[in-house]
Amino acid sequence: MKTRILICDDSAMARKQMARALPQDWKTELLYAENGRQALEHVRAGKVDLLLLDLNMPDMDGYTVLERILREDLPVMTLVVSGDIQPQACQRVKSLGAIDFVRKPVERGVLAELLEQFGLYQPDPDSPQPRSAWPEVPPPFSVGLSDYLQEVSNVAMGQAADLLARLLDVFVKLPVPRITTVYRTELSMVLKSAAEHQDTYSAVCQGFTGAGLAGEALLLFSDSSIQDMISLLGYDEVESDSLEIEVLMDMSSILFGAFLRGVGEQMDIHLGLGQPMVLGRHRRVDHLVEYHNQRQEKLMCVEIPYRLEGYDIQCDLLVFLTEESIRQLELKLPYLTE
Amino acid sequence: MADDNTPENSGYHALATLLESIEVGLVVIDLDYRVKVWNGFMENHSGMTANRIQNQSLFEAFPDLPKTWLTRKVQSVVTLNTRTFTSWEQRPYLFRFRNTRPVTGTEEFMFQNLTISPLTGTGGQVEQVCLMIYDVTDVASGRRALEHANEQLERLSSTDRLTGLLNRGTWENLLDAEFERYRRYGHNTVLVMFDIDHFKQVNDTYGHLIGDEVIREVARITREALRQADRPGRYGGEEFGIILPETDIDGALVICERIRETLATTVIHTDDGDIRCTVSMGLVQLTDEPENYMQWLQQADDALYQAKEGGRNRSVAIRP
Repeated sequence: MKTRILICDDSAMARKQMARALPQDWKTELLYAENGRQALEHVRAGKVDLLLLDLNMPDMDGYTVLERILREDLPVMTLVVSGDIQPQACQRVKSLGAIDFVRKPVERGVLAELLEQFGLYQPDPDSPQPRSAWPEVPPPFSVGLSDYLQEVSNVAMGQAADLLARLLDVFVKLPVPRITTVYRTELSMVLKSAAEHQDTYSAVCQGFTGAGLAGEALLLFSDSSIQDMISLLGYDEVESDSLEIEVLMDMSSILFGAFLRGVGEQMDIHLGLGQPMVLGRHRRVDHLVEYHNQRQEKLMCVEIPYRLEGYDIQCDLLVFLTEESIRQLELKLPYLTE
Repeated sequence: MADDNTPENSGYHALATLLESIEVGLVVIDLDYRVKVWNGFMENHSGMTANRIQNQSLFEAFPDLPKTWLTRKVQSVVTLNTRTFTSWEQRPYLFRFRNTRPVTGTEEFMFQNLTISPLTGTGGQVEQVCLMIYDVTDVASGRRALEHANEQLERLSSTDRLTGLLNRGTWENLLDAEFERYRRYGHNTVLVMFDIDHFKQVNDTYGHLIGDEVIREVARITREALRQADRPGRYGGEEFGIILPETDIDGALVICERIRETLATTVIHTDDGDIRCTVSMGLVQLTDEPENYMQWLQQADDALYQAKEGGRNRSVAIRP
């Protein structure tokens, strides 16, 4: 009998990766869903034995899907596959009835072992080892550059958040990373839309480069958040002015470092980091980059608004890729998403 | 032991020489802060040789180091296995190295940026930590020179950037000149000092940006109510001064009341909502009593104080 599997993830790239990570000698019937709402419909219709579920999705997230399944007592096993690797995320989904938690990007061996543990899959001892790289039916969608970047960012963001969560002992609420194309001349506009409050902001920038990929990461902090951050970090022995720079630099070291390492690992490249630079402090957000927008260049922007649960802390990570990097990535895309 | 002349060995030797001579400080410490590597840059600037500090505790060799601070940074690098960066802006230097440039050096100490990197052993565990110390004295002194120049430019320019009124320096010069003119010709002249009531509350409630908007609006209304020859200036934060030449105290009171009433009935529309504010004003017509313009200013300040004491949103005039 074929096991009916539903892969639910907003990212085409992630759906593709999950389909590929399934053991090839396993008789399955694959279904796909792009959001929680769709997934729930399939499950309610009784079409699914095993649900591979992502957590961060725009239209009904994974937590809500788990809650509904629990409440409606739907007959399905759910395995959460997520880039959010904070210990708390893992606990939360298990308490909501998920059988286990697998971190993205999914490795084939790990998945096979888990499935075996839960008695869902038996490796066929007679089956010859070479497993074709593709399921019998290739997934009915293709992966574009922004979809690829979104998924890579999603995983890297989860790794950065995990460090932050461990350092501060908090839970970081993870959004869906937003990918947009902008021109350099529109930078201040981008920052303005990232900023939620009528507040002043401080920002730190750090350049990165490696294997044809280059750009700059920018951390945008609302000034009211910095005070909260200082107390959360327990910094109190130094006077307040250099303390703020201290917080900015520490946060950028952690978030940029982890994020860019995560991106590098997934693309199998090593990214060199420059010295972070304080772009400005206590300024109106559109004034932060007023002297920096001279050249006309198309950039790709990944925007991640980090929020800490239980705190009014707003901290936005924006990663800008240069025009040349976009060209390079487009060339490499078939190989990267293969 | 391999032969010293193998290609690997000579490659390693070249690399070691390079690290030894690079103009960046390289220090490797183990998790007990004992020094394992100390390159030429560090030897040259600290006067401490690599042989002497080898296996010594960093904090014992350099008791001036900010121990709590550095320990916390290193700990987070070790636990999170991630690099961390610090800049001269948050801490001018880690090692107190004297500036060695008698000609071009304007700063007393070397400004330093610091990168702390985890070094993993074969098991993937962080076993050592590398401190990289960059000399950024040029950058720092350049930035400080720029800030200094901007301050000077600010002083030299005659207008206040926020309001477009005369700035304090220029305005006080005019006040001094007006004082001298009175001594020579004896024409009527009135000095007004006024400030925004409870301005601190505006700042505390709405923040400095909205506070600035209020100041700008008060300045605009004041300017529109005045005549060509009158001289308004921004004296400080929310305090303003006006010189009214060829005006007696009654005429001045009419002008001031007009400004005060306009402000009291004006709603200032800001992004954070509508704000109303009032002002208190002190007026004094110049007599032979003050010996210099500063004493005249003091009289106007006293009048302003009386206006505040009297319940704010009013003008108090000291008559000759």
